[in-house]
Amino acid sequence: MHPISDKELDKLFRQRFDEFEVEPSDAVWGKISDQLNDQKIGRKSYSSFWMAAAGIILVLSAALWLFRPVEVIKLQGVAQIKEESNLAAPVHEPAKETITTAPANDLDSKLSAAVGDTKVSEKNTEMSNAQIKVQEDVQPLVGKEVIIAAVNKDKAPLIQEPVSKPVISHADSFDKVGEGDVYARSLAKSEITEEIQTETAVSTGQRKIKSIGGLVNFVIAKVDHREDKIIEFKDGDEGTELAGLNLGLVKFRSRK
Amino acid sequence: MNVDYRNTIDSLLEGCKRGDRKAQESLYKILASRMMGVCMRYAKDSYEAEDVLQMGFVKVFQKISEFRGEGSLEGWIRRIMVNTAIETYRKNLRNLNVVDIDEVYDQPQSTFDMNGLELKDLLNLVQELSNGYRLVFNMYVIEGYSHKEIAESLGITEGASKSQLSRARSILKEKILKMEGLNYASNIG
Repeated sequence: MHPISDKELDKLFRQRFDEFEVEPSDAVWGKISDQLNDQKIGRKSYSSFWMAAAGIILVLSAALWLFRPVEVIKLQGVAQIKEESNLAAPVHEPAKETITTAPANDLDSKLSAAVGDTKVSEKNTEMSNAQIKVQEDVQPLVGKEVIIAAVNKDKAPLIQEPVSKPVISHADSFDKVGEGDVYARSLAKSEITEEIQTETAVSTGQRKIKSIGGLVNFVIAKVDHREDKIIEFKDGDEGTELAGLNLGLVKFRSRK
Repeated sequence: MNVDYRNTIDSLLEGCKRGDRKAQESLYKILASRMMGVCMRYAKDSYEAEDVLQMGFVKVFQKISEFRGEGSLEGWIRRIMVNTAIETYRKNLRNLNVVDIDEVYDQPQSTFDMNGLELKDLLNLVQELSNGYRLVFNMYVIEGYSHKEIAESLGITEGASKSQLSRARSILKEKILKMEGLNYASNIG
């Protein structure tokens, strides 16, 4: 019985344990695999949430982009009517008070000519046949050209301007043809003003329904009662654009 | 360790980095029994050893992309197993159990001299050490860690590591001598 040195003891255990192998039970790999699967599924569900969110945004933006051209036509159509009314008003006023005054709007020679014609006829308090003819010629054009102008209004001011001018002279004279005197014209003027107002009211009312953005706002407002809606659109000069986004933590609001 | 064995492990490494379950299973199958051997030395029993083995391999597959090829993959995995065992020990630090030396004689011994001691007996001796002694003994003697490394891993002082090692050694020597003495006595008788 000799005392065992540390060296001997360490050597004994090291040698014996060097190639020490024990077969674990078969269940262990299954548990490892399950644990790895759980972690994978957890990661997957997390990323699928963001994929869904991204998908919704993608579909929304694609839909908006696709409907945008249609939107522009409609919006410009409405804007055209408005513009027409606005232009018609100032024409009446100078016509009533000072017959020779040109309208404040920057009109080209063609318009001045048309307005001039109107004024001449007013002075005489009866419409010349020629003038009526001109206006009748203009009338059928109005409908067509408004649409053309609506399609490409911003890019073709040259087309648009001549269109609006006949419209003005037409609108102006249309009322005057029947009345024929200053009193009647002033009455007509007030009538037209009313008409303009109702027209504007109608056009704004229609805009809500016409624009996809308005529709979205309407639907969202039904569900989302917060001040800042989850998504909000506005009808800008270049069609419908995003006005606000409220995803809880992430908020976006464009300048009004 | 032969060349073929190394090549197999290296070829599985890429698959494991991609998270390929087949490659992971193959690597596990190659190394499981060897790593189970490591875990057995650190654990009280085979149940605890299998828990450590499971946790260790999950960690291996999660962190395998961090393996930079410094040293062998097996060595890297072995270190993870040891670290997992240490974590388990630190978690269970409060239920430290005291070794009853008399337990050694519960099982009949069939070996007579120290070199004749069977691996199973040595494992029993190590497993019967208290958790702290067992860890320090395994880390220093078998894994070859320095006292400084052990102290850092276990959150103890180097002095504590040294004294635990010397205490573990003396317990083991005592037990071996008693086993030899028993054998000696039975030989004479």
